[in-house]
Amino acid sequence: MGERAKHAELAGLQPPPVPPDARIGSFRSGELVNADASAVDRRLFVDEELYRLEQERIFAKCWLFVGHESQLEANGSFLTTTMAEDPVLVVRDKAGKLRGYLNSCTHRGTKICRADSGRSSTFKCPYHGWTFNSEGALMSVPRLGQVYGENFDRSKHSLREVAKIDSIHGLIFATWDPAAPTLREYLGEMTFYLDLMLARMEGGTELLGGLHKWTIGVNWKIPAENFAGDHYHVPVTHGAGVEMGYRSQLSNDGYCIHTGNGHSIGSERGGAQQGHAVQTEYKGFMDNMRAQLVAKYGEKAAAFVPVGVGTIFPNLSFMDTARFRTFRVWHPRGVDKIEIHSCLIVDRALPEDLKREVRKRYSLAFGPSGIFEQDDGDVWQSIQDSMRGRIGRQGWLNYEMGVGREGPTVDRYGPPFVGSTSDILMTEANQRAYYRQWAKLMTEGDR
Amino acid sequence: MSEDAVREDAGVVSDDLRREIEAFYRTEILLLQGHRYRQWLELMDESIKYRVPVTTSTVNGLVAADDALGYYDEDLELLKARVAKLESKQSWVEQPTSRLRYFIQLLDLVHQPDGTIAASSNLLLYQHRWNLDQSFTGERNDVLMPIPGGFRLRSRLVVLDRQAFTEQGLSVFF
Repeated sequence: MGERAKHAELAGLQPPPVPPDARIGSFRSGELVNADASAVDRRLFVDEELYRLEQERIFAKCWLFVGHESQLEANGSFLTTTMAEDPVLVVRDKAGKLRGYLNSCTHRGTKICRADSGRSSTFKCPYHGWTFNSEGALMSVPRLGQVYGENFDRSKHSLREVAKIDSIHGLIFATWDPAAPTLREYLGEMTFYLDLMLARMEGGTELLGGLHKWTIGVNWKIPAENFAGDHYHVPVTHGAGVEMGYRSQLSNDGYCIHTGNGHSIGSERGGAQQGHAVQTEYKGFMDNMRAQLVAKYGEKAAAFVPVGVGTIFPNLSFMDTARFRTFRVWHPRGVDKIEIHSCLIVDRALPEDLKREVRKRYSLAFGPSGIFEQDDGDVWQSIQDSMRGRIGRQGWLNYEMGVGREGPTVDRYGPPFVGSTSDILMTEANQRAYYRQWAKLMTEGDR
Repeated sequence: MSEDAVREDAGVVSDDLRREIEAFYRTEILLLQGHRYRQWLELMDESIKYRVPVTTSTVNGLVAADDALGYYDEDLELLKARVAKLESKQSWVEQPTSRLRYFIQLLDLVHQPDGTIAASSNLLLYQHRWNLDQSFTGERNDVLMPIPGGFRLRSRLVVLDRQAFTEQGLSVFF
């Protein structure tokens, strides 16, 4: 393949180059992200105007993760979470359909549901008593005829409903944008890797044991880009986890794949968290799944069990490792703060006692007290601290690692492995794809 | 039957035993405040279950389910793994080390039929780290096993009063 043809093929695998002169609010795009996103301005992480524009152009447009179907098995069950800063109520209605609403009374805005989860066919506002059903309809208004008269139209005051809601392998996503593509179109080729990760065993997956919730004083993009492809930090930030044997020393053998729309995934060979300490039977299960994939797609497919660590744009990240699989959302709570909701997703068909052991290995390593994640949080908060000031917000962060080393994944691993990959694990190709997607969405509003 | 035996049947713990148990907690707090985790592990029974579960907010308040995910969900092997991690020079979350202050109050002690003692208490922990200050409160439920010259911790369940931890990096034991 000639250089030009190769270039064209790669161009189709990633978001477009960042134009120098498009507008992002009062900014020129080129002063925030350079053409190939190998340099990103520090203001992306601290500027209030950019944060407000992100709410409009990213979070109100993209598909966002809101929960797992196993949390809503029965008709009439509900959970509450947020889509960016907006509180939402996600229900399985009386007919069994998934629906999502702004958790806010249409009368005066009060939250109509205060619990994390439960079962209820109605939601009564604690302020004036307007009551909604799981279909979002306003069912009753106290003293309706007496205080509003005969002509009050309840049907105009249904809960604000998400534009679209859909699920894939149990993961529920929703979007506020009626013009959004379908969920599968939005996920694009990432769907293939989600299939690999979440349909390994018959019977589907389940969310086990609730959520870890905690906050970090950091901009939401820092953890999202970390999971997108920052393998370079592992030997340093997580040196302690290597020393005590939870994970082996990171090699540079592996892939960093991005699949368009800013989604990406990466893994060292054999998966993260290979180590001799506190082992479980999960390893045998993964070895078995790997053998099945090799039988289907050939020897090179061995690299794809587990599938790895990644981010689904904008703020859902996951880690499918040699020991467990976690999904987490980095909910923005202002430009300099996130609330993390992290969960463990296991294959239902795993034996119950193994599920318990996997649960313990996950919380040992990840979540706020995890011996890996506790060090990430500390590092990330210090990034935010150091970029807050007048001088700290000036200049560029560097994302040049691995520039020019990308090619189609299929060239390296054969079919059906999609997306763009590099010939080394430690590259910032995925972060560049992430910020190119960021710039694409952020410039769209000002065209 | 002596009067003491009657009291023991009712589960009430004698003043002497209470003093011994308070001494156990004094020892433990000094080890935890001093980050002497390797010695702290010596207080654990081989079959220790050490759990600090996540809580879910329901209409009836915070609930910690038996099968909930843990902030801590450890047996002795996993506790040792945590201690090994904290001992590393690359354990950034504790560099520099936190200052910790533990307050254990309202110690309620009850004899169990199997010879162990159920010890429940209020926990208040104050942490100062280079980049944050935070405090934790919760309810601690221990089972202590008497051994010659002292006790071993057989199980600990701590239910914290806060659902979402503020600030990153939970690096303390409860």
